[in-house]
Amino acid sequence: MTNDVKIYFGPQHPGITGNMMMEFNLNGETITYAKTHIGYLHRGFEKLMERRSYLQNFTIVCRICVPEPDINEEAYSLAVESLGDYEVPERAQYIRVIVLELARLMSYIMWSGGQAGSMGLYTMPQWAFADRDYLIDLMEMLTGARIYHMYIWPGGVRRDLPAGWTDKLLETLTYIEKRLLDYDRLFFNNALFIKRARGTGIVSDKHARERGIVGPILRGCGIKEDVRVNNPYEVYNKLDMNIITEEGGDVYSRAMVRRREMDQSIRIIRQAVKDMPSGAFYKRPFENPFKFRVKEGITYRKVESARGEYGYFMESDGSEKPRRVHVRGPGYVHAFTVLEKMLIGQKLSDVPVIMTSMGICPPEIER
Amino acid sequence: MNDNILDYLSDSIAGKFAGDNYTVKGDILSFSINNSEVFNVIDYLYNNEGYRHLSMMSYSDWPEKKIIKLYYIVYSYTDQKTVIINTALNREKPEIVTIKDIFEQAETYEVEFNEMMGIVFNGNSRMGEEFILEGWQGPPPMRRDFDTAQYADEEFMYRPGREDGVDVREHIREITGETGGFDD
Repeated sequence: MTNDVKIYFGPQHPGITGNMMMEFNLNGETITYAKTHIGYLHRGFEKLMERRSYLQNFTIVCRICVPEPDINEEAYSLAVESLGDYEVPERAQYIRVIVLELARLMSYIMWSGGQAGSMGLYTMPQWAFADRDYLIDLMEMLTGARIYHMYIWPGGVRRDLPAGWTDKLLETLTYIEKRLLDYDRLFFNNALFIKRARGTGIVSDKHARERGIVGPILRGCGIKEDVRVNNPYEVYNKLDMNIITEEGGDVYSRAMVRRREMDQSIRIIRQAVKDMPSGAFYKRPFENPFKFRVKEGITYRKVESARGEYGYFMESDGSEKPRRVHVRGPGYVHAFTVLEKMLIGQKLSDVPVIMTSMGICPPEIER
Repeated sequence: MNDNILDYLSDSIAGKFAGDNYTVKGDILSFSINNSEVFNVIDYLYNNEGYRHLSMMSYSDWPEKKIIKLYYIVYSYTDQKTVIINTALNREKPEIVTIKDIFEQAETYEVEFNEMMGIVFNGNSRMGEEFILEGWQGPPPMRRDFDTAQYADEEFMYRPGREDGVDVREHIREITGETGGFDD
């Protein structure tokens, strides 16, 4: 007989990062047992993809992850291009890098609002969501859509950069760069944040390596792993960038990895704009889109999302529709094996702080 | 050494367990093995070759061949290479030993695959646990012969206010007399 109290945290709770629920046993405020429950959001995307053509699926995949849809388009396209041995023009690869880094920036800005909000610092979310909107405006100008862009597709991108877009892009980046300094003053250098984040939600580097942890959480443990550098795709190997790491493995380390990567994303975009060649933005990989087939085989293609390794396993049987498409979102492993263990011994009030820090996104868990 | 890693693995692992049945493409080595060897091969890769990151597990259904293919995708932080191991399971009774003692996070994948595809992972005590579905009585829904529309018709009611259950496309045809459309 214990004095533990059972509570259910979510799925309708402002402190939980989406449509999922945590089951806790509490001794006072301390968590003694944690279990993740999902099932509130399953849309059957993977099943749908088995019944649609490769091109029809391209409109579905971006909807798998709301905060960062472009990486789904990228990983899906890479998988199709890998199976079919299709080439992508160099200009398209540069454009893709710009879009992916913008997506990372948007995701990190949104995260910084969420992370600050989880600690009761409510000015930061207002700023973050307003500033993210400037980047969304850029995406709208480029793709015609604000959130689900459907822009990166097999063979390249759907259209070339519109006139005046790069000027507006560079202007917006200068603005964001200045705003990041404001973020530092308000949030990242804030004593309240530092005190709350240091020593909270610690992941050891051993566990980080062996439990499937990826992205800023892994790099927050000092481990140099970034798909863009270690398994480069598109033209990342031609751009000057490094793997940003921090020591400590806590919420603070992860936050500082993300903060520094925001600066790096801006640098990468500027380089890509400067080095981008002229030429084709798309090489059509098919004659008839309704009879578009890829070779029989399997592939696994991954990209570095704002939350870490994001992969697509794809199997083709040679027909017009994929035999199997399976999405590996970083949140899948983080939400179960990792979170259930790391929350034990933590305070209930730290749950939103840790969950936001772990980048858990239920839409990619329930594909 | 790094460039020759996949050649080395092809010879030492794939060659040993899969014969010539392997492919190397880019940074990825993939090979097929008998399901009784899966645990040993993954254990060897983990402990002897440093493949300590399970990127993911996956499966695909092949009713025409009466098999389910099961995939394990592992990665080495030091080699920076990916190995895909696949094995075929009998579709009528898909069973294989768990690898959760090697990769802790595999347990979650196995619970999901048990629910969605009906694969039983021996040694995983969470088989039969509800994961995404709730109170599911039908066949595993990711099987290719699972009829989604038929299941929905049999299991769910039409929303009140739509008691007629009219097929919208059919209804438009009746009103307009049009016979064209995507289905035709």
